[in-house]
Amino acid sequence: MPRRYRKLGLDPRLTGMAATLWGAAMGPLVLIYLYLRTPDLRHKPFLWTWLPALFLAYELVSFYSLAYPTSPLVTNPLYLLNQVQNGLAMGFVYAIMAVGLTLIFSVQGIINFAHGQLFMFGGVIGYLLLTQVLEVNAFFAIPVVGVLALVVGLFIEKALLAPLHKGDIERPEEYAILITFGVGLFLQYALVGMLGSPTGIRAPRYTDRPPLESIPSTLRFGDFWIRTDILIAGLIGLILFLALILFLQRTWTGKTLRAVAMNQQAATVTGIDSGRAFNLAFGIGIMLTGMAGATLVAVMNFPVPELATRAAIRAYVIIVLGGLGSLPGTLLGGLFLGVAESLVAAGFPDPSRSATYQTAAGLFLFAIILLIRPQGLMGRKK
Amino acid sequence: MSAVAKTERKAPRLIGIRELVLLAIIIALLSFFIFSGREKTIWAIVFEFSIFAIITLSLNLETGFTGIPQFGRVAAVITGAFAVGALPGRLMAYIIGEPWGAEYANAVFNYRIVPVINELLASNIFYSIGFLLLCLFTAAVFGAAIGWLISRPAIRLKEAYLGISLLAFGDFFMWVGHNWNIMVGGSTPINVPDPFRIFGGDRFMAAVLVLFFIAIVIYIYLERLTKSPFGRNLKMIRDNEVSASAAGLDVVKVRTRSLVIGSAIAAMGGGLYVIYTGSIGAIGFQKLTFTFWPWAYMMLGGIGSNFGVLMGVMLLVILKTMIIVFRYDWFAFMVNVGIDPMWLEFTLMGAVIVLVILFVPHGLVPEKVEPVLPEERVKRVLAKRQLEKTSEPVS
Repeated sequence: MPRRYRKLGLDPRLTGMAATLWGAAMGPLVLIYLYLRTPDLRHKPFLWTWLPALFLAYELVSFYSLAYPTSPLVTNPLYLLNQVQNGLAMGFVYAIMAVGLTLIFSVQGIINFAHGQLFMFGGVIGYLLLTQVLEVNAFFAIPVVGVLALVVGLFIEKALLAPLHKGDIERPEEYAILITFGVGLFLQYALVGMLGSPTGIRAPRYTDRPPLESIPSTLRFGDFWIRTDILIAGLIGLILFLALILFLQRTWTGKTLRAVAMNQQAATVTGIDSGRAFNLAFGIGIMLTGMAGATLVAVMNFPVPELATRAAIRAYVIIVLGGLGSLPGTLLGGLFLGVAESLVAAGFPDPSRSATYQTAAGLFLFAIILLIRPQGLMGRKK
Repeated sequence: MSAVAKTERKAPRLIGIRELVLLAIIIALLSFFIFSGREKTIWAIVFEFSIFAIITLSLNLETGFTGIPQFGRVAAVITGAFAVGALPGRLMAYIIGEPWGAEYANAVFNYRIVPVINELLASNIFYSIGFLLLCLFTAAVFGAAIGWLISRPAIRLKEAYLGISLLAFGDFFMWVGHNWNIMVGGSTPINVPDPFRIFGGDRFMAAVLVLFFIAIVIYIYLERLTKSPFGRNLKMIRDNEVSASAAGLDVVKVRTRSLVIGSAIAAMGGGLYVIYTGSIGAIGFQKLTFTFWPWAYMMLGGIGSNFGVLMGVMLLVILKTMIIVFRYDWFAFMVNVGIDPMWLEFTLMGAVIVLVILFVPHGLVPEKVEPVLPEERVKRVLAKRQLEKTSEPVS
């Protein structure tokens, strides 16, 4: 379809997307109309992109309810609401997981392949602190892990990634991916070696220890329920998120990071030490990742070492979904993925297999979004 | 005049000192296994070398020569493995009248059907050869198809997006295979008919030799392919996409072809792996083994150099095997510190990747800069032009 538009000298943007959506929603008749009349799509973006998307979603839902009329998602609206709520909570958790990766990508332009391992590292250190050193509530472990992760991040950047910015690396993307992957592999199995064997670790929950031990682990409002741990983790994540945004928007150091992210040469001309900015960005990114690990170890069980790859693949999907390097996009992508996974798990016809299909469903969604909108939900076109 | 000066460089020798030293190191390491009384390990090393040489060479075609950040190598490998696991065996079951539908992938039926097929294959050498070729063909066809599928986003997306997308595709395929029972059994591994059964007791050695032979054939094919005009097109696109398209190259077409060929070869590697091990379980195809280890081999050997890739695969496979065999003898002291040497293989491989990239970023056998045409021919062409210029009338 874009080819036809280009041939006629018209603006081919949006055409592929509109054609895909309308074609999927209404069948090939619309495509014939588009092909013959070639209307200008840019004037009415709602008609050509949002309407067919809504229509398609409605069609999918009605098709699903026709195919599986006994599914609780269709018969019980409260169940649906609970699943959506659960998905939103998990989505928030995923967004916390991915925020460090986004920061590193937006400033440095590299993808940190040790992300999942550093996340697990934060969790394992938090777990060891809580079980072997101090008998305190889980949220006291978070700043300790944060400081430790900051040091690790600064060290990794200084020792391994600094040559990237001197311009003597031929293929910077691949260099960064491989070197962070090597670090991740090393870290992952060093952690397994330290713990002795692959195990699932279960840290004490937020509601297990004072001062929160009087709060029940599940809050109920009638038939509507929510897990307190996830709520607390969500709050901590929100605080981290806001702190990061404040830091980037309001402080001079944060502004230097943003300046370097936008244009390294111009930032250097204005007197910003870009090497230091890169170093700091990587350190803060790793700090957030480690703190996310320490936050979430008190919410869910960590299977070491599989968790690293699971968390990492979700984080990558989220940041690509939301648009690489966009913080609000990360939040949106996380919520999107959380709700989608939760609904697929709840609505899959064969309940014994639904949990294993969750991951595949997220990846499938990811592939479709990339095909329709390659720059992600909130990404900027370059 | 500068053009002449450039072409007067000596043509590179086929095997230099660097390569000889590497070969000597490899032979020394291999003989170490013989002297310590572990000759059988060498067969395992050669097997792993053959499989990973095939996969890494295909990766080198896509990444080293075409410049696509192929972090989804496991997708093509897994496609080949599924194709070989699911289709040729079903065909045989259909021919001999056994159940071949969804029951074939059910472990209860599969463990009964496959030995029957194996007996048939072992009865005649032509059946065995035919079956092996059928497997390779199936794997290559499906691999090419998946390569074409991958090439669609690969043309549109830019570096970082592409790397992550390919990575996610690889995982997606693994989860589909793990959950879709009627293809290759899902979470229960199923057996695959064995064309090497005809060799009886020498089955494993014969299989290893055949795999090694196939790997060498693929090496020669790729070496010729990358020296052909098509290979020079690939390098041109890798080095400068804009100038390549300005010179009249169809960048999309050339990239697609490279991905299709590379994926077909990688799928053959996956198929051979399944045939050798005799069973297929989807969860075994992790991106660590089939994406990142090939990357490490390629980076160590030299990105964009086929011979270097062979050396890199051999060296790292030997190193890995040595760690696995000797970890409890050499690293026993680590237990006292509280670290189990069981996982040392992965830890050290991670360290090796980092060290290689830091200190030998171009690999042990770097890509050679070669003149496009032989030296004499370039001189002849230049002399002819000179003659034409001088004889031209001044206008």
